[in-house]
Amino acid sequence: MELSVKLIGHLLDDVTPADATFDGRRYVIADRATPRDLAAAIGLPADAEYFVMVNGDHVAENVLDTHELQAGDEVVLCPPLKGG
Amino acid sequence: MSWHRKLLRVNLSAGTCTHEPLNMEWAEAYIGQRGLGTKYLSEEVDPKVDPLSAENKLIIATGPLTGTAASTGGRWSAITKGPLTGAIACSNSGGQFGGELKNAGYDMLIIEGRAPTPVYLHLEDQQATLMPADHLWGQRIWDVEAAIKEYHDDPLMRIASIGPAGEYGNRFACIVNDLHRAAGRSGVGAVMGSKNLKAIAVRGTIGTRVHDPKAFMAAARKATEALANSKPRKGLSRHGTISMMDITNTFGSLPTNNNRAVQFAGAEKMGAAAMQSPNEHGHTNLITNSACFACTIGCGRMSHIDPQHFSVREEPRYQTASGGLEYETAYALGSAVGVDDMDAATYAGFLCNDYGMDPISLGGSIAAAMELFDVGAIDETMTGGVKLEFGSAEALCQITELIGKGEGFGKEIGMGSKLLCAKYGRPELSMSVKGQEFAAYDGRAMQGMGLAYATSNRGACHLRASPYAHDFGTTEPDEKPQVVKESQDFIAAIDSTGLCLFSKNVGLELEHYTAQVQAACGGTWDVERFTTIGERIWNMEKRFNLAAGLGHGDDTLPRRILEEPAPSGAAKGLVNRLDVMLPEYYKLRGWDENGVPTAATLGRLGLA
Repeated sequence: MELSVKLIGHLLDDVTPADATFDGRRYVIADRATPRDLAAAIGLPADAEYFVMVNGDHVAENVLDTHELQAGDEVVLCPPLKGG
Repeated sequence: MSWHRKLLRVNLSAGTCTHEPLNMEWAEAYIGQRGLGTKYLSEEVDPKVDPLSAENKLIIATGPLTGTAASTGGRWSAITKGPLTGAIACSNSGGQFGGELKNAGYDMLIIEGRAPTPVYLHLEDQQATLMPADHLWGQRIWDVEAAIKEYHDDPLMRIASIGPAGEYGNRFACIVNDLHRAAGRSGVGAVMGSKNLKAIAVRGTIGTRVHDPKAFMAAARKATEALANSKPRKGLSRHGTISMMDITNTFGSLPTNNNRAVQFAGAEKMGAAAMQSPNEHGHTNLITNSACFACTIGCGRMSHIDPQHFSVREEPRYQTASGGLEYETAYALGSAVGVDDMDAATYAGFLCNDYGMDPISLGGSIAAAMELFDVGAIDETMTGGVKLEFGSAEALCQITELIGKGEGFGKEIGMGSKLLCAKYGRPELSMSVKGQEFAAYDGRAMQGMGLAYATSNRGACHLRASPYAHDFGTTEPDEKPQVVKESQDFIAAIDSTGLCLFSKNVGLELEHYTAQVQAACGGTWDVERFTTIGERIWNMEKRFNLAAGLGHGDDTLPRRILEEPAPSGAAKGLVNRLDVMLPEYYKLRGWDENGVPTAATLGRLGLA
């Protein structure tokens, strides 16, 4: 299935390859993939910390490996910065 | 021992400066800075005192690691009873002033009374002199710093001063040091102004000794390496705190238009990328980053406003490089007032630094005034012709200057949003807790932050707890009380060391702090002792507030956050669940149902 992916903040520095762009770009991934599957597929390291918004709605941390993404979803991954 | 074991008591009424030994028993029990300063204030000041009377005191406190080689070891705090809140005020700053004060041989200053005419305090290697400041009264901060340095022929002198806002009693006036760092919150600058104290100028060459230099350097190096290798630290150095803008906007916790909304259409124009990108004239707002004393993070932003921008076109004074937008100022002078003009917000920020005002409370108070204007509670005839409309960059710039000068309607906004909204019959429009305006996080999407605001001893504040990671993980309230309580305790301890809280946010563990404190001070320091001291400090602050007359009813949030569901984002349809979280929080604290520490809790913490 195809969806769009946007990374925010220093997650852009974490992804491999480093020149990959994820500013709402189209991305193809297996059907029924979860946000955790997507993070791994785009090259984020396993210990990367992020929260996920899908179509503007928050996906709780405890369902990141069970929530099934849908074709056409707009997925945003953000680092959970601590204060500012 | 990284203490000089010396404090300076300055009695402005009598015109005397007296050295006293630092109470080392208290230093063992409260560490320093926030904890030790609050202990002195609690012992010496009646909590019911009028904050702007001569009976209130202003304590300037360093921590045991201030002035050392520990990374971020340049912090100092101003502790007093705050005029914005009527509660304990403890406002923390960086820059170079704190390190200089410590290296001049002073651990703490206790400033009491009121000078009959304006003065400034000159400190040089344990020599203290009160100097006349009539010629400086009315001057803006950037001019004051220049004049004092010129008089003493010392460009390396470090100065903390107030501007016109602190002189006229603006309740969110701050103390600015090194031109653009500030003890910003709760109106500590108004207390300094009420004492006719314009500035503290310090030069120090004595240095700061530590208990075990070899162990200290090893511990300091370990902490510095942890910061050097941390990804969040790299991000903070590169992008500054303003990188939070994209994140809260995406999540739906970016307060917008006085918290009517939680996502801001103009966020992209106010974020880290915009700050680093040239505008249509080829001008870039960000020049470089900057660091405080001994800091290896360097999160500060140095900015320059496009000389063609309307705000500075005829204002050469502000066509200079100075402290730029951090996340909190970008929110308060941006989304809070609906403004997406980065240079206008930067200009308003420069005015805050020059007139001596907390930009968070200033922006929050202007946002409240804009909503009063929007609902018709005030109009142009009352604002001196300023059209206080959400989104107006021109209005933001005009009213900020009036607030700084204390002129016209600006002086009314200078009371803070709580008194302003009450005066015009709409108290529910003040987005504040205990009278202090919200920081840059909406308490509906960030439930833990809502609880942190409600229970903060100094009023709404984003630096008194650290529920960020948990809040971004879930909006469920169940675990928030534990997260908030634990982080309040360790933050109170960190704020007492002389180190910057941001070091914890981007890489240090609590063991890094205890190792450095142990090597600097001697004795045995572990995490349990450290966090227990933090809990002791929190309860001491709470007890001060209770004695000042604050109570259970002050541990709350504005009606908007409790009753109006968030319109979008992670909390769409949700309100803050303080009703669930607060009773659990009180229980975890060992407080009764009214938020009063029990005798058993006070006894356990050595506060009975």
